[in-house]
Amino acid sequence: MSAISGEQRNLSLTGSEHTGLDPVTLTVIDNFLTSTCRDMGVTMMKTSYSPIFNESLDFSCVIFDPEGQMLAQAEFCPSQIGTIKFTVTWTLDELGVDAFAPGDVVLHNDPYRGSGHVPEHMMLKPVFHSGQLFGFVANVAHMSEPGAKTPGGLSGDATEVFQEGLLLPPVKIKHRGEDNEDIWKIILANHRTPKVTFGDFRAMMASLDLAEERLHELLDVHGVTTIRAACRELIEIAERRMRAEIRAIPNGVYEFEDVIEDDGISDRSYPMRLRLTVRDDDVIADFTGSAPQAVGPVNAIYAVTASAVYNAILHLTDPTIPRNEGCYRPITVIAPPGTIVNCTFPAPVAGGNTETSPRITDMVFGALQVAIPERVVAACGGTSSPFLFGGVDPRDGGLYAHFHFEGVGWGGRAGLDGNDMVVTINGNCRNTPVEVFETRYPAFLIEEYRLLPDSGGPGEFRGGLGGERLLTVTSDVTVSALLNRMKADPWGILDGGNGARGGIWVKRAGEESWQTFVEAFGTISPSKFSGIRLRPGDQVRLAMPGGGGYGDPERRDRASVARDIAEGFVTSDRASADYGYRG
Amino acid sequence: MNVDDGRAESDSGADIASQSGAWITPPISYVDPRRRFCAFCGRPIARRFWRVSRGGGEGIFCDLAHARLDTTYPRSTTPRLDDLESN
Ligand SMILES: [Zn+2]
Repeated sequence: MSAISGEQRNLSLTGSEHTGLDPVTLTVIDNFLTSTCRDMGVTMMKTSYSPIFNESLDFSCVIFDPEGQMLAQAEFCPSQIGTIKFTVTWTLDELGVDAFAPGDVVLHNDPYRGSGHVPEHMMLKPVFHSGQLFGFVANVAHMSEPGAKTPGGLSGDATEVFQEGLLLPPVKIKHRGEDNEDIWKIILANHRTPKVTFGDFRAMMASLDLAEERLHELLDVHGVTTIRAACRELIEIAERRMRAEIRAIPNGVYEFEDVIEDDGISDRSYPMRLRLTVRDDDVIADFTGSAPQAVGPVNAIYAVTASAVYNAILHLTDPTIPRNEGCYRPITVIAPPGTIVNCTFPAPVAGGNTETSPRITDMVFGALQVAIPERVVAACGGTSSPFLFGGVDPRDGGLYAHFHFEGVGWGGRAGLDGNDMVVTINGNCRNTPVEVFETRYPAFLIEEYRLLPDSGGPGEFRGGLGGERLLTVTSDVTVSALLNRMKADPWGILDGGNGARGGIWVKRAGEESWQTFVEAFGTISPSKFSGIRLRPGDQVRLAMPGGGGYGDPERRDRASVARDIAEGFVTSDRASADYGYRG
Repeated sequence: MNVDDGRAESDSGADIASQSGAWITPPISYVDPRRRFCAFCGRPIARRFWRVSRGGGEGIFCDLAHARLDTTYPRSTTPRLDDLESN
């Protein structure tokens, strides 16, 4: 995980006209802010209760100035890093900056106030130094149990946001350093696993406390005025460098279309259209023409769509640019209200952040494949593969719930094959190890966990492999799912082939054949459903999609094809059919 | 309703001078969950917005830059993909 081993940046500055700070000091300040964000994440990883925190690292950590401009971030979850800009600015606008006092912590998870989806809870703490408000430290994290209609949230057949968990507008869970007991009581009464929520919230607070302490150290050395000026300068540097990167992309209007295959409520698909304009040093991503918002939970709020576009542009540009507000200024996102890329209240949104988000990021790559073929990547598996489950733990009678996600194959790119079974491009998370999965939860035995041969799209640079997990139910459990790429292929680019689709099947105890959940339980969608009760002996098979291929497979180096066969990544038959390999 | 009068604030938007407008800061409502949206980008507006009058109508924007872009960006006129499908 890059968050733990993040590299230091050298800004390659030529000196400062504004601050009087030399380039070395500016670089040190930038790296100090970034490493503070990284340490915030480590604090959460080390002190939280749930595996989605301490194994999957499904959280992000950011520092803001008093106007809500991002000063620094660490390399955690890209979709959260983009949306937190909107969550924080909404909070400051709604509450007003004067509402904050030292020791306050504001909590917020409302998607219709900028949160990515209901499980993602943002905490925001002001940092006062020498009596002045310097800025805010913030984190956002995916709670494994938000009090939705089914355990773990992300109900695949939700039709309103109210079914996706307890909604919290910006509220002070701490006021001047003291817990607001009433807020705590309401939340803990609404989550199925209050002890886990309590522990994870405390981990988030500890992370904020650490960041506040670190900022005081920095401000003690340099003073508020100097650091503010340095931050302004770092933002200007980031904007200047990002604009230079965009200027290097040929001007033009680039278009791409993709589709969300169904919404859990009906079998209709939801097309999305992108018209990407590169004009000198600005980018406008226009989603006009995309489908109306869905009835089911595949809708993206505006912040998710914008975040997915930011994610793509950051992937395509110089990774040494300071990651602050300046990176985002050249990027404009147009998403008409009432569409699948900017849904309106009270549409359900859970899968917008897990499924539609990676699709949007991929669409930017798809649109730019002609303009900058050397930098884009084919489609990834494009699903976070959310598989939610919960029930009563027979070991102690307590409730448990878990949000489980899987890796997918990533697309091939110039010079390299796609990654195998890595959590999709919007998440940058880790999977839950089998040992942790089986130890923490009584529901399943993992029989098998493997890469799927031939799942990577053929190409000069092959798509990464998807995988398969086979689970046997060991105690009564309620499951839900919200997956994609079961009907629509992960596409290849520049004559590369498509990756394999995924799937989820069930085999009831005592039966011989695998069935879809439509066949076994009458769900509307084979991939999006909620509240299905499984019994001991039932089995679930989860297949994750591969990535698309890059370039003509006939051009693939023959030694690489031979190695793929030897490694079991590609079968001989497919090597012959897809690559023309006669070895 | 609070109205910060008039012309674009000093931080940006020289091109906006041709449009009269005002920053509007309505009170927060916790009994009406409906949102306003930027007429250019579609972003839901938390509270404060830039309102311009032009051509007999008015538009609200999340910031001055979007009010400016709204006058120069060539809007897509393509129909929604699902409309195409259903025809
Ligand atoms: Zn706007």
